[in-house]
Amino acid sequence: MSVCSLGFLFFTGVVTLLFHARPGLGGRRMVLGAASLFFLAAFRPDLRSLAALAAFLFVTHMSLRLAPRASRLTVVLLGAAVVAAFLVLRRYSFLQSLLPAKLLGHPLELVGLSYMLFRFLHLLVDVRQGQIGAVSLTSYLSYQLSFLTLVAGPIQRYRDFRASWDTLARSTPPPRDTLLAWDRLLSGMIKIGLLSTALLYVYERAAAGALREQPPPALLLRFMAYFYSYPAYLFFNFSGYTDIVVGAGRLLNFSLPENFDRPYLARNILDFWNRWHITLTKWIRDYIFMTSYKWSVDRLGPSPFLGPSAVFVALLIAGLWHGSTSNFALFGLVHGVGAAVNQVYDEILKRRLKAPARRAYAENAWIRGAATFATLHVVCFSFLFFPGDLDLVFARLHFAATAVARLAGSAG
Amino acid sequence: MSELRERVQAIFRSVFGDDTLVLSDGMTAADVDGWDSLAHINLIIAIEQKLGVKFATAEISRLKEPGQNVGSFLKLIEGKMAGRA
Repeated sequence: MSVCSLGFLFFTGVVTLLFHARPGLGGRRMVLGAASLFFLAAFRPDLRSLAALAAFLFVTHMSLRLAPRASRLTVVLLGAAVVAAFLVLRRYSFLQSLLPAKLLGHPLELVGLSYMLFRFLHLLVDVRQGQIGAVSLTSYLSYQLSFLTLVAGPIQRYRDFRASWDTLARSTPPPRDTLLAWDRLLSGMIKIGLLSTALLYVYERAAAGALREQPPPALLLRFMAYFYSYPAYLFFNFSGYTDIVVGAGRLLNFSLPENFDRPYLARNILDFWNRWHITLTKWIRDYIFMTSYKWSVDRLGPSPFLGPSAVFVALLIAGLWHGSTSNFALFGLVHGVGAAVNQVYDEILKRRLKAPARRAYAENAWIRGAATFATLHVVCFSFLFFPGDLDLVFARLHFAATAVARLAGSAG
Repeated sequence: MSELRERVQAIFRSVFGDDTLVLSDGMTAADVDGWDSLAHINLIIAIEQKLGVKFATAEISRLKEPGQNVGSFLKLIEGKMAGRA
């Protein structure tokens, strides 16, 4: 079921009515649990995929039960085994040269698997480190399969999930809050149904025409439409999705974290990730960047190369997490390099300028404008690799570069 | 000023390269120039090494969340040092 559909609107209305008709915690949990199962069933998974999902959830929950008592090595191996299973289930293209084709040729499709993996790994680390107590099977299933976050996040932390899950029985929100929740939900639907659909249409037309012989000015205009429309489409689509689930959550006394904060106004790549898919960024920051950086410094001692290296690896992994093909690796590579350069530049500024001069530099409107402009274009460039065929992307870039050269030649 | 606060303040000054930095309970990451993710983890590493305490991943993360400040950071360190004694 698409969250931007009349079906989802009706589904949310019915779930909200049933939820508020039951005053007790247990009854409301049952309503949300049944709603999540119904939502999952609406994707019509085949029996083999359902069995694979059940196995994934069972094995990961068993790992969580073992984690507090098992050795550190055992926990690392459990986590690695689940990541390996994820890579096979998602058919990562780099595995083709390592594994038999039959293993990757499986028909299994698991909805929201990437999100489930990150939720599980966060739990594994936090349970192991004693930050989260025992996680019951019902809590775990409710956390992993919640219809509010199943398909595309946000990646809510378990502690925050429990804060809502344990207080579902609180009284019905005042009418104003209910109206604001519906407003948020419907705004999200407008963003997806109208804006992102229109932008996708522009993108597809521009992409199709970007390889057609035409005068250089027309080609460049078409290329600009191609260049800017996809990032705009992605923003409206994904932030619209977040609006819908955050709004639906509020109707059900369920608080979800925000995922966007005007990302295209970021002044550098690190700032962009603090504004785009925020819950993913925080996950990557905590469980990849900080963990790998701290591990490296503890063993190798401080080095100016460790920070940029850790941030590069973290954003490369963020790129790879988005999809199983090489275009996502390229997307991660652009962001990894951009963020590493960003961090080296910050370090140079810290060494050369004293704190007041650094503040003046950061607040300078011209510098801020130039940095925002440059960041926007690096981000738009990286999003070219998101959809489809890499050969076509490179051909369009080559075509546009040739048109610029021809224009420059005729002007000269 | 308590001894712990003085020791933590010295670590802050060393990590942020600012000898004039004075800690107050209400101070947050936004109040300290350069307190980004890298500086945050460098601060944690320095405190772990100099005060002999260990932080869990979730604790390190929570310290950057809204509502957290230097006061809560000091309380966390104090609790860890008391637990160790």
